Amino acid sequence: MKFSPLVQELIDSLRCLPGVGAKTAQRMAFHILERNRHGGQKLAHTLALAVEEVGHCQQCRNFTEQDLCSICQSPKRQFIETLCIVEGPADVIAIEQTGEFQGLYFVLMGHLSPIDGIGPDDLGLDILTQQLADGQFKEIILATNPTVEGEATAHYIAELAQQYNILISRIAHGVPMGGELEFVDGNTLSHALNGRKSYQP
Amino acid sequence: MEPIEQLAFVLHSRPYREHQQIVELLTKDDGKVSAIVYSGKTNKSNKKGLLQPFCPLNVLLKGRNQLKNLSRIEVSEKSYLLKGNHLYSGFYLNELLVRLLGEMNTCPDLFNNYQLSLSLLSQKQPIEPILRKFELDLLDELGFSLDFSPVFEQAAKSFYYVPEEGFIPNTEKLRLPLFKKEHLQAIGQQHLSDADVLHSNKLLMRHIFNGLLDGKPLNSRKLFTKQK
Repeated sequence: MKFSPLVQELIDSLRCLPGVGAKTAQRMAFHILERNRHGGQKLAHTLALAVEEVGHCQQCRNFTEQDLCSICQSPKRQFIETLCIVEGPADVIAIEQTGEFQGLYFVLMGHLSPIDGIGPDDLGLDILTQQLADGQFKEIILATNPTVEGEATAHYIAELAQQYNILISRIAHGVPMGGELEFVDGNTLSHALNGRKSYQP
Repeated sequence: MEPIEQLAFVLHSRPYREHQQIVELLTKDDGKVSAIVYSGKTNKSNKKGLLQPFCPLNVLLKGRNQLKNLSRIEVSEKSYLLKGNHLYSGFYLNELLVRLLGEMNTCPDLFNNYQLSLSLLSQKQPIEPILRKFELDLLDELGFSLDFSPVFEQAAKSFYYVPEEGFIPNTEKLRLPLFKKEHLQAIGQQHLSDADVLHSNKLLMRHIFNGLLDGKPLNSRKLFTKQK
């Protein structure tokens, strides 16, 4: 059996979302049409608006519909001379939720991965270099993921930043909270051992 | 045939569906293989920590299709910790293998050379001789072995390298890079201590690999050039 063209098109369009296959798309489409037309309308409106309006913050490259995102605009944060460099917008939220960091962010929107064709030019490193050259920051925190690619990215940025007389730090990696040593993989554990800190009672 | 455990390195991985990854592996017995692996979201089943490049793994590959299933993964030795330019060199090796090596061709020699190169890189040995040696081995594996005999036998002072023909003396003018005889002789004998020889070797390899890659540039090279 075939669906009418418009229904079919809706199903096909929904499949552009990650994790949505043919069946899921079908279920979503029917749910909107059968039960929640109002929600569907709202979704369509917001989606169109967001795709149209949302761009990158001029300073940190995070997603925003303004020129500067709310974090970069915040007057409180201007005085804290620390910049945290992360791979994606989700990382910003994660760090914000800890409440530990009050400074500004820089979002790379990816990591260096030569095989995927992502080079230094794709990560907005020219904007970053410009900001570092302005002398606004005393410290940068490299908070890229603890993967081989993330490590490469961190190292590349550290090399860029070296000439600007800035303190460069890297987030620690090791055993997660509530984790059990016996289940932690060897790579993580050797990192944890190599990066151990002196312990004051 | 019952699958057996073998040594492997992850060359590249990319996400597939929600909780899976497709990884390209260089294995000891089967050459380059693509495989699907469940990478998990919970802490205990998360294999992403293992599926990192430059970490020697014991893997069990199942399935008859070209795309295998990676059913068992264990770390066999400590991961090779590469830093800075040595890490970029590791990426360079991986990129060459991903782009040039065919799938499912047994290549135990190349595997051993790869592992040796990684181990030298992790010891922070000089990069260029390691890369040049690996490039020669890769050419052998791909069936483009370099024949240095004309360089020793013919009297010409310098030579061109022409793909599929090899080294030819510069009797006629060609629009190709020219290599000095003594440099090529040194490369043929693997005497790679002189800086000029290394430089010629680099240009020679770049010329050959450019041809093999249809002129598409290697991305890992960008990581090196930017810093200068």
